Amino acid sequence: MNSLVSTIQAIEQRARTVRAFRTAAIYFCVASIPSLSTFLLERGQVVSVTSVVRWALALLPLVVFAVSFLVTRRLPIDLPRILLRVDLLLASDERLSSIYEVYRRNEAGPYRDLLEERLGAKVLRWKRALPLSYITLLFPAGLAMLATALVISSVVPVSQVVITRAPYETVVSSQSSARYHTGSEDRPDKIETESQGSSTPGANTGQPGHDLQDVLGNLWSSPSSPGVISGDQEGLDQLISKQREAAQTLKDLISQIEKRLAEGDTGLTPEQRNALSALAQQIGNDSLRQALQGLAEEENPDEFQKRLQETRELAQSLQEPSGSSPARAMNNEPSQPPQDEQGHDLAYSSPMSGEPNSTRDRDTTGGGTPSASSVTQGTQGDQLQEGDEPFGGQSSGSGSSTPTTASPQFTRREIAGSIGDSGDFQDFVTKGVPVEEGPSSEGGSRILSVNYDQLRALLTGRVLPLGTEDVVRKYFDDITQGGE
Amino acid sequence: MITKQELETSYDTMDRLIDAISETIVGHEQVVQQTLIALLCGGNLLLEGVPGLGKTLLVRTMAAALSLRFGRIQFTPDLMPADIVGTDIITQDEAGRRFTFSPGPLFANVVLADEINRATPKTQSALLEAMEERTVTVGKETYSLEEPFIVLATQNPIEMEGTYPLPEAQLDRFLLKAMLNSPSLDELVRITELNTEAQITLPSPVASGEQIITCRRAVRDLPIGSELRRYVARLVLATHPENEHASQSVRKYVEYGASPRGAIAIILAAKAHAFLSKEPNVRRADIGAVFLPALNHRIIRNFRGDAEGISVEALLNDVWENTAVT
Repeated sequence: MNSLVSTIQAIEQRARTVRAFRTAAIYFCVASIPSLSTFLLERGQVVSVTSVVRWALALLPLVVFAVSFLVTRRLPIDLPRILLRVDLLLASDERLSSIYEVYRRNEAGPYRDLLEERLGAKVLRWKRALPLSYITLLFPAGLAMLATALVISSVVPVSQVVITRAPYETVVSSQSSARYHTGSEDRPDKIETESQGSSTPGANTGQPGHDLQDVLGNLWSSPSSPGVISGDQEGLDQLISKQREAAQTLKDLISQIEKRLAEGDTGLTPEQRNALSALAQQIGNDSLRQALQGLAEEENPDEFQKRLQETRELAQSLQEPSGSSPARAMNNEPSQPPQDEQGHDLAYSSPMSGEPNSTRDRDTTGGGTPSASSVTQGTQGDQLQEGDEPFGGQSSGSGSSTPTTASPQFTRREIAGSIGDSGDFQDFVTKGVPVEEGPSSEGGSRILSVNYDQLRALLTGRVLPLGTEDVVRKYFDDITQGGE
Repeated sequence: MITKQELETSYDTMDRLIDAISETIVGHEQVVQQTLIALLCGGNLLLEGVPGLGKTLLVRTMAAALSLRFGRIQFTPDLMPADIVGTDIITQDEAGRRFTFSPGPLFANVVLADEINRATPKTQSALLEAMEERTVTVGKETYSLEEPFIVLATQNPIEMEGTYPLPEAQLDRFLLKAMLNSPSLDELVRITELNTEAQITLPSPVASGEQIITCRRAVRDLPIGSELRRYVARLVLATHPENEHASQSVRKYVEYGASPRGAIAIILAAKAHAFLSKEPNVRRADIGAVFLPALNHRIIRNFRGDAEGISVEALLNDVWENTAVT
């Protein structure tokens, strides 16, 4: 008898738990709707919520689940009905519900003994009759996971999202003063960077704004990550060193090939082919990479000569005209200020004004360019998911000194007229970046620049990892050569 | 509360009674079972079947197997109520002349009302009080009937000329309505053997009135889950066309559903069925076994149901199929 009484009590507890879980799961799903909607809208940059609101929305379904579970579990339960269900599912001839009635009436007699005797082992399987359905478990769990993923993705810094991408090549242009051609009539929405011939394999293609973000992301990343630069002075040195090595390797290799050709050989040795192929893998500039690959695979002597010539010219065109090789740029060696087609210094040109910013050192805008452009290009995570490789070849400094011949290095979205502190600075790197607008140029372009001191103040105001500020400072020093 | 020994004695009594009846009655197991259910519940049984199926023999056999007083009333159109219940007659003794009550055949334990639908409604109604309240009122005097009391009525469904269909109020007082069907080949052969090679002998009494009353207590003590009670209530309510849980066919073809007495009949009969099966509780199967005989005389079809020949059994089967247990 005691075992049956305890069994009935256990059934009651189980039924309460199952019912409470089902109810709580329903409430959880309902409560998840506003949270998920908000997270999705935030991901789509339709709305912006503070971290407090975000966490409150994330916790809301859990709180609702817990409260509804506790409340529902305390509510009265129709035990006779549940016992009859158990009876039917166990095919126990409705004895469990009958004996409950006998116990409830506190009746003694032969039927009670018979019922206890005949219920026997069948009642031991009662848990089968009160299962938690998979839908009850899986649906809220799926929603919880989705909400968790959205919350995490919205609070994790973009730089860390970048790091989770494929291992990067580490050759990054650090000298990339850029200029927007944003004339009012002609808005090609492109940015031409005056990177000193360096290619940056794995860099964003056409996303100047991501240069700074990517570099910062890499600098903040773990030094142990393969191919990722550590976030200190050593990382920058490493970056510079690799730039140099790549340039030197290319130069040496072409010299070797030319020497070999001069000696009468008609093709490449297998070692040279392999070296060319390997080098091509490290080159971010598409045209140069393709040229190197084509050279490595070419068998026809005449075509080989032709391709070698093209490759040499292409390499020179990427290095020489600006007067600063990647190595030089990395070493802060002075370089000629970049100029546009009209001879203006390379700088940001606003779509509203065509005048160059003659009052500023145009070379120094390299640090501001990525920030300004990233303003108009959404979050880095979004851009990366569109197929861009971090540290892609063309984006971060593979620019040419002849913008008309070089392919567009960056594609820029239209800068909203409200750029500024109160503008649409949505990206976490560029949020609040104090972009200064210069007077309009004659060509209808507008000059935008970033003041380093203001940017530094902005970064100082944020909670950044230890040493990050120094890294940022070093980065800006490198790319602006001490200017603004 | 019944004791374990009483329960075992009751089981033995029923076993003996069933054996005794089955010696005389061939086949008709269901009808025999329903007859015993009616006996155990203290209810009344309406036996319906064409002539010659052994309705009267069944009642006589059961009455013989029980050491109880048996009364038989052959209903005819000119039968009067006083012929059933009895009447006051003038008697004379030392004290002089006075009215004394002369009990009718209703004053018995087992009453066979043969061809009950041949009597007038007035006479039929004379049975109502006895069937329901176990009392008979003659003039200003009310007389109690001796327990156990059971009315076993028969009626012939095909000879309708000169008959008076039982009023609904009287039909409702029958616990069950048992339908006798034609015997199978083997049963028929066995019947011919019994009736042509020897004289039919009715069984000797195997159970007393007290034993039957003990059995009745055992039946009433049998537990039933409260949710099964609710199930029975839902079944009965589902026979009402105006009820929200009524099936489409019930709404279409039923004029009146079963009364609360129908629900009582189902539960009592289910208890008796479980008792006869020696089960310690009422099961859904017990309810299913008595659902049709307990309700098929309590459902009144409407004109459309009559015109389209919809049987009450079909309607009840529909109700059974469409009513959820929980």
